[in-house]
Amino acid sequence: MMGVDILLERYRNGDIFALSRLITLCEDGEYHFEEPGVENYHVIGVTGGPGVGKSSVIDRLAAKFLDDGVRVAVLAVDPSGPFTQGAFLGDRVRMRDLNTRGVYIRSMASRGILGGLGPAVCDAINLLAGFGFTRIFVETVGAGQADIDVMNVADTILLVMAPGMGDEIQILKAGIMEIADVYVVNKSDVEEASFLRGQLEALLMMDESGRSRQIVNTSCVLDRGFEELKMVVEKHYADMVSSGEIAERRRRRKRYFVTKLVMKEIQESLDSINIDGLNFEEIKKMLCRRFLGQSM
Amino acid sequence: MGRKIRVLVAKPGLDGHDRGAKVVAHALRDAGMEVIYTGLRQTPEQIVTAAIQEDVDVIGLSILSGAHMELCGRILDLMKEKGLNVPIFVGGIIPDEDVEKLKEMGIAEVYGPGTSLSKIVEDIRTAVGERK
Repeated sequence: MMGVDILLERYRNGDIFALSRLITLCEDGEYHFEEPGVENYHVIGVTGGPGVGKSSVIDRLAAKFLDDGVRVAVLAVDPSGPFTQGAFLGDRVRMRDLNTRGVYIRSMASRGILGGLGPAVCDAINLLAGFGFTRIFVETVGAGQADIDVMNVADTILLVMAPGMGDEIQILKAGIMEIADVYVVNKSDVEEASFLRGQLEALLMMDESGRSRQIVNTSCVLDRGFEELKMVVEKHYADMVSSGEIAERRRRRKRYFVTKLVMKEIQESLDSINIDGLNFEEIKKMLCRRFLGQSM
Repeated sequence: MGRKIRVLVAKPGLDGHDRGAKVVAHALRDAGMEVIYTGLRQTPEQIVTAAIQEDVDVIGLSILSGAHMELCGRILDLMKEKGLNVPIFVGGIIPDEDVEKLKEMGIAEVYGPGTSLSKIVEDIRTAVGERK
């Protein structure tokens, strides 16, 4: 295994192998990359339920960015399994043409982390920004109502929705519905999409937070709506830069990153605990026996 | 946390039968590996680029079109050109007389119909274990 110092030097010289290996080291918890060393980059979080079209939306939207000549990278997270910790990472299937256009795509497994992201997303964002990518997509796992960690890492959050996933009661629920900067009504070629759009418009009318939130209709099969989506996303970033909110979002990410590292340290010290010859698992079992009278 | 085995499973060329690739990908997943599945009709360029970006330990190719000599040759050439050095395993419909030729070219192993999934898992573990 090549040393980290050599990898970092090669990374700084623009070596894509070194970038990829460093991300692997961060995923394996052997290294952390805490600062990108640059300011001018935009992290676009893309979340939403399974099958709503997150990867396909990224594919079409990234193509619009490429037309403008910017450098694009994608971090796509899919779940690890609970039984063998294996993963089937299938987001590249929807982004077939991006890698021939110079987009760096990295699939990541969630590795037991709840919240919709994986263990090394922050390191990877920093590594990609430092490498010169200026639009960095972070695609979450197919998210549930409470998978909201992406709000802690992205500058702009797109919530991708598709028609047919429930009535407006679902839309009124707290959690993931609240974190979006942009609601993307995907599959808008399907007739029921207009109902979803109407429900979202009603939701935003009720919103008194003063946040600027937009709704954009897209259709991947018709390649429709992505020029508008790009403009909305770009404007959101420009507004954050001029209002200074971008600094708050970056602080939020740093806080999340540091918290995760600390939690990991705590978990590791728990895992390596040894009291009277008992490890953490054995202590838990002993306590269960003692207080509940049952084995675990 | 420990090191995970990452495998790229790709289907180069023009045939559209990906059931085999999916079955193998599923088995590797259940064996605890992280499988990056690229889907159908990948060019050799796309496969090598994906393998570099994903920092995989192994590449698995599924080929049923009969174009295995050309596709494998092109992928091996590109890997050499870019400096990527990982074992390639090929599965699919490969005539016996081509199996040895593929291995001479640098393909690690070739699997035909009826191969047990546990053999593929073991071979990958062995190949990766030897490299780490």
